[in-house]
Amino acid sequence: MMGHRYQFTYGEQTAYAQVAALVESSFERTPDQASLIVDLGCGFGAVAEACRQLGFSYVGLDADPAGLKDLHDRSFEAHQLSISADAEFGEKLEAIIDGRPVAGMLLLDVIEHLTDAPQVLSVLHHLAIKHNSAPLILCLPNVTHFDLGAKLLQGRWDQTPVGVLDDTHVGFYGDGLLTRMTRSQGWHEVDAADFRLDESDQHFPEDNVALLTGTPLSSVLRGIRKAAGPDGDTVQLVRVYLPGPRIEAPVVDRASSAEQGAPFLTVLTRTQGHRLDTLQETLLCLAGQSCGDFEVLVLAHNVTPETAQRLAYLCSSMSAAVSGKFRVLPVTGPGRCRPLNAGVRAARGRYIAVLDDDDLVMGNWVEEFRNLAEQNPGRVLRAVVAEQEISRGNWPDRPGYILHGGLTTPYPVDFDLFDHFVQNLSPPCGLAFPTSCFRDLGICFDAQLPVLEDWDVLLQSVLLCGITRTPAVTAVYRRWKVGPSSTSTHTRTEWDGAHQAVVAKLDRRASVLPAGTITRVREMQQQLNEARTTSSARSTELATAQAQIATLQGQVSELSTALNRLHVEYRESTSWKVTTPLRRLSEAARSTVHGARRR
Amino acid sequence: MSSTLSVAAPNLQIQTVFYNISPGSVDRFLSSVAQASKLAKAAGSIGRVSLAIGDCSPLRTFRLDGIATLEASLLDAGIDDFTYDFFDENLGSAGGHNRLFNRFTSDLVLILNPDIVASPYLIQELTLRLNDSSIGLVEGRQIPIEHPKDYDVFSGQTSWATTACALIPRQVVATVGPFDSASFFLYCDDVDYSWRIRLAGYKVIFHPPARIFHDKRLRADAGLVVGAAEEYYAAEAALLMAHKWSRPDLVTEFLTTLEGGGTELQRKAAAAFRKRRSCGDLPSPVDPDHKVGQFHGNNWARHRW
Repeated sequence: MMGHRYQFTYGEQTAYAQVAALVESSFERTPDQASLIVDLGCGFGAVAEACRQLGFSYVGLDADPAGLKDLHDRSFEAHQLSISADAEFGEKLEAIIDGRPVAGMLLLDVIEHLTDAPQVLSVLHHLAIKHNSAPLILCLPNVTHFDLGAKLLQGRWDQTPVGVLDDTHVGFYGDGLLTRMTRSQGWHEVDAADFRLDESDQHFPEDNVALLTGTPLSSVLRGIRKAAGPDGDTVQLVRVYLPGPRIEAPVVDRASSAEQGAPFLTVLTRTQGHRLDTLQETLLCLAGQSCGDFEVLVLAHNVTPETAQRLAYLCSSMSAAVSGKFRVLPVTGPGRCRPLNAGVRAARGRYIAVLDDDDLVMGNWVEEFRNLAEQNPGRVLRAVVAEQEISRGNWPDRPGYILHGGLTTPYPVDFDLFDHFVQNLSPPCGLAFPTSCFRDLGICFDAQLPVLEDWDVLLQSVLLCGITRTPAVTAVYRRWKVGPSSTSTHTRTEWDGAHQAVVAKLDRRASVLPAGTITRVREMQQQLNEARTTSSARSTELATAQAQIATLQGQVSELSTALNRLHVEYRESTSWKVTTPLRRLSEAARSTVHGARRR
Repeated sequence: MSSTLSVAAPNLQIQTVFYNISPGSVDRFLSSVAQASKLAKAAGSIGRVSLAIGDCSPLRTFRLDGIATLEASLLDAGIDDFTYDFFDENLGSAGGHNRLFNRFTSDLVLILNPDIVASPYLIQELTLRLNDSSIGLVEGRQIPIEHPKDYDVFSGQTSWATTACALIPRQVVATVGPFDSASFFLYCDDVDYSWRIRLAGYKVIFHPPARIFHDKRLRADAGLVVGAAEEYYAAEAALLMAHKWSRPDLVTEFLTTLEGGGTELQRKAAAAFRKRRSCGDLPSPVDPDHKVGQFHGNNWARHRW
């Protein structure tokens, strides 16, 4: 039977080895090797020997007699049985099991051949429940491998006799669809050992620049795929499931933030509960928004139960018009980013903005963002931020805070990407990010960064989404002169390290730059060249001048030496010595006259 | 019954004057004021709350057939009595509030701008601070743009208070009288009123913990966005303040400045002042010894920045 299309052999670097590893870790054995592994759609039973070696009894089931004969020849039990969702299939399966204990079931490279995969999974779910909640291992090709996506972008969909795009496949799965389908039939993933290869069997043509690592195009595409999820290099999804309750979910996931009832904007306000006075003001500003299409998640980070209660009271005591918009989300664990990432996961809005518990906003803050989003959907939204210095101080009847000076607008109205590569000139309270950045592109607030996590997210997002801006001043960033803030609680070393880390992260892969970049870079390069030319000319002039100065200094030195020599010669001359008494008399006379004038 | 309540928890009239205000602003204002009232009553800070709205808009803000529904929702939300007066003319802020004073029978009056959102704790905070019979007015603090006028950090005393948010005891209104609406149509009515309160021997107190959100907008240079009306009325009010508060030297100076280098609207304001003066239509000067009035450049108090 050698040469059969599906006669695969077991090997260490194959998906079957991954299956065997999961069998070993997930299936329960009995001492007498009586526990049965039921391999549905077994083909030639590539894992049969591995199962036997692990101490299980193996039985293979398939419609194709070729593989069954091969299994019989290798002394394995095998039965002819077509996999289907009808009742007869279940009865026949029970008859084959015949009351033996079932360690688990295998469905390897089968699901993708079925037009009624959910129904088959449902039948197996019933069976598993009857057999002491027997686990199920699925192994199937992953069509969200990077190779397929890169080729689809180039208009290629290359079916092959075997492999990820086997021309007999009728179902095409990635992690998302597989998870939704299995959960809907009551199968819950408990472990995974996906088979990963950077280069799948779809990695052709071999000279395709989108597939070749090292090209900028490949780098950009791989970067997007990697950020979107961990399965870009998964060739075979290899998962273990246990039977449990069915969780209904639509097979087609159109979920986006545009679902009915979802607000335009989710506002993330992180607080440690140390600034409840300024937090009150942040919430009050949000209650004053002209556009009410938003929700607010107050991210209570590592707070005590008492503080959590106070936060809940602050939110619930807002007026009826807005109180429903506020939710307190407790978050525990280290790091400034943790609450933000928790907030992102809980956000329902199409856009996400971060407003700290001491920021203030104008009444048009949300409205301006929404207008921008309507004009240029999908981009990062930017408004101008004013700044005011603040410090802790006393109010007449209690501790409060003091403002130092009026509002200023030190941040530029226009967003310049190249300026932002050098430093962040956009405080978070003037920005809103498309939720898709986080959900679809895998951008998150980097917990490795002690500070500057906002700058990191801004640059990553802008490079993929672009940015649109309004000249309207809509927020007030309050800069603490004294007291705890990120500026004061982190060392200069931490700031420098974070700065370098953000830049290094961007530099690790190619970036997409916005339209108009080439002209801008040309202008910058021309300016640099002109500056270099000017600098070079100035350097030449300087060198010439320095040479002239050196020459003149040499001449002066020579003249000085000659003068000294003459002076010495003169003092030693006879005429100088003869006239000495006369000079002393003259000096005495001058001294007398000056002394008389001083009186 | 009423006097008993006054001792335990004073009754409060909240009053505001509408002029072409957006429906959204109205909703936010009413909802926040009702909530602040509800919390203050629950805390025992106040007794009954009456809400009096005067409307100077060209058209009614509330349709007649919607008043009953509105009243029902307000009564449900924390207001005990509600009145809506459509004035059918633009009386200005001072004139509108004077009309609403006619309804004032409570122990306290809280004057609010309609383009504000009250903190849930606003009324509790204001009444908490009104703990001394020498206090004539307690002013709330505006965010996100705090007014720069100076105040005493120990006592809260300040030169004047804005009536965007001002709590005043009944006795003070009875002593001082109504706003000088004849002189001040849109601006400085509150400065003038504050100074009259102080002239009567009361203190004007700024209370930072009592917060209101005041819907103002900023220019790119962080200055406040102002309309043409402010340009005219602010110039007119400056002249009237200088005249009324016995600073003829400043009247001369302001006129010279406005007529020499002012905008067209400011020159018009100067001309209107001259006309009023020639017609004898100016208020009688007060505070001849300058015990109360403060003129710091164009400001009525020393500013912190």
